[in-house]
Amino acid sequence: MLVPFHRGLDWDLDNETGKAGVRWFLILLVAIYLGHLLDQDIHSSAVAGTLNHYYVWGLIGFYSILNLGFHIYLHEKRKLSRGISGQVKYFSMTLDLAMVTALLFPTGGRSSMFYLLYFVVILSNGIRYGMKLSLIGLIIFNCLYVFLLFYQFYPNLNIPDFQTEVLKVIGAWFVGIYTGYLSARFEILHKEVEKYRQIIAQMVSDRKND
Amino acid sequence: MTDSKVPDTNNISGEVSFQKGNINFDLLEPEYPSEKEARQDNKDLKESIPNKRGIFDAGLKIKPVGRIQIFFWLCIFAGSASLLLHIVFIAQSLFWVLILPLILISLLWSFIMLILFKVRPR
Repeated sequence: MLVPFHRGLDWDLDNETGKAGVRWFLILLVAIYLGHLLDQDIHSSAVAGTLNHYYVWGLIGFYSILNLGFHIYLHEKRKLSRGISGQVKYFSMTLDLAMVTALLFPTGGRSSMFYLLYFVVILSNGIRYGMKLSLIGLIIFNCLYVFLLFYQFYPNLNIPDFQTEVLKVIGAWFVGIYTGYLSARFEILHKEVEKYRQIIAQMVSDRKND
Repeated sequence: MTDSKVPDTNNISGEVSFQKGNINFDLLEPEYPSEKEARQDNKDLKESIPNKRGIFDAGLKIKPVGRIQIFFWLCIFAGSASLLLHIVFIAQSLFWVLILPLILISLLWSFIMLILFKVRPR
């Protein structure tokens, strides 16, 4: 009897642990960069009032505490040999996108180089979890980026080079959808390989029984 | 040459065949229904589903897709495409960026529906 293919309980757990590890690395890099901006008193590109010690260290501290809590949660689940809830990945992705948005404010708003982190978040989740998460991530990204533009250009909302912003958002959509599509294809291939692996294992087992 | 030296390809075991590189996984399920049973099953299926053809109407009552439905999806596709072009080249309001997901999803969805209707045998 062939066992139907499914992701193991550890699949989400391993992925989320990997993401939490990468998050520490990014927090460190961002802290160094923002510390440098504060040290040199470079306020020229920041959205009004967002490059100050309270905002920067509050953001980094908040994110570090959340990531630490996340690590402890994952560690406990692993110790108990239990899988994590299916909702955790949605929560962590939303949190990551929100934090990237918060990071854009003191580093230049729409012209911040950290815009690329949106792609990192969407790609890493899309590859791991497939099209559904990729689409949800894109919708959240879309809303958050509109919020960023709204805040940056409030109250007149007269955005120079508006079409560039539209193309940036559409570009992210295409990348995200294509990632989801590739992920779906890889999953089909994975299933095929797994099926053949099981067939061969069964043949070997039958031969031993004979 | 005697008959005993000629390899009987009909009785060759699955394992030997597999080792020779002839990967035919049908050998794992050797219990096929007899020809008579298969014929009977096929007959029953044909009788229960009139005008059955291909995979698209297996087990379902045939409902031809009318021109109105195709026109409806075509309108959605054209509308979404026009809105997308409007946003890319003309729009100046953040509202349009906010509804971009809806427009892209409707564009993709209507595109998929049109392709399905067009490849469906009629």
